Amino acid sequence: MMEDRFDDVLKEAAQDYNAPPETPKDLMWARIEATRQERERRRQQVRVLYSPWTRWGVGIAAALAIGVGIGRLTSVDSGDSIGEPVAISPEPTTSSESAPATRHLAYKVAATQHLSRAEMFLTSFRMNLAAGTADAEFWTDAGELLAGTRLLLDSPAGNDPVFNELLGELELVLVQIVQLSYERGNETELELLTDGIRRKGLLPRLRTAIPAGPATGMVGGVL
Amino acid sequence: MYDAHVDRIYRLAYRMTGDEDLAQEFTQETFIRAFEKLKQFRGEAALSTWLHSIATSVIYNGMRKVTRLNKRHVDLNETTGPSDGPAGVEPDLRKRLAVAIDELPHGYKTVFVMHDIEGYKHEEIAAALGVRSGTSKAQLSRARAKLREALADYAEEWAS
Repeated sequence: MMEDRFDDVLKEAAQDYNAPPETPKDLMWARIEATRQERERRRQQVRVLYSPWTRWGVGIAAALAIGVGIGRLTSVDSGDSIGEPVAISPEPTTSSESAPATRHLAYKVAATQHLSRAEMFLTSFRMNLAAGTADAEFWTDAGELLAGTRLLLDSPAGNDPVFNELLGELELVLVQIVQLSYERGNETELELLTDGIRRKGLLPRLRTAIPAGPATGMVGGVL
Repeated sequence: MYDAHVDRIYRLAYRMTGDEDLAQEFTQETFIRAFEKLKQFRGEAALSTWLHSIATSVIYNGMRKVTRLNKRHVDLNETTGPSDGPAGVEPDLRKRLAVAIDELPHGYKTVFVMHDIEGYKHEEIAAALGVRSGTSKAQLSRARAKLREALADYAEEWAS
């Protein structure tokens, strides 16, 4: 009984324990918003950094850099001109031809990786547009693919007739896709674009040009 | 959600920490986590209960970090720090009670603060802490017993 009464006294006295001031609602809400935006920005950066598109981009850039490096090194020794047409031939090369052949192979690997990335992008782009999931990252990828295609067209890989034709048609399609970013929701343009891709048989041709197996393995083979 | 629940969460965080900055930090973290996990909220429990379970977890983990830091701070001060104040001065009940509550184990303190100070029901406490209602009642009983023990001399004086 006495215990209960003392508990009541304690309970009453405890009301002053760490008595809270008025809740700073607005201040905390502003900080919550700022923290959430900051965390979302970081997550976005991580997503972009580890996205397959970025990995492909880095791979292509590395392969291009290796190709340019090999090209510069070997052009001095062999006396070849940089702009020499790429010969894509399964015939074995002699030892005197091995340096330019390696260079050409490096460009070919870069072009193959790029075409593989383009094939993945084109396969998913209509679905993304239809589902309304084409975000800023999607349009950035389209722009990057277009830039990569133009770079490859100007590289020795573009001298190969097969690659040249494919890259040229890919450039045209990518230009149309990038234009779509300015007129989103234009169903007629989208229909014309997908119809064009279908009529040209671009996706099957891309798939044919991409050898089976991972492209990265080819890079390893070159090196 | 924020407007409806921020007061109770902040009050609980402040009662548990006794520090304005920490209380704000824990309250903010509770809502940030809640917004992030909102899709996972299945509505099986009341939103308030779900929020309080996040809050108690944030406060518990936060306080563990703070206690570790404070312990280091106290260890340093013990060698060079000032004395606790003039000897022989008897602190009044509220001050002694505050010290006794601070010294309660975290689980006892949480239940005592939630029930006896903030007026939560045992069912609410149990849901927030993920324990049974009976456990909440038992912990409150032990918390009160510890406080009586800590203030035994005052209790005798009061009884007489």
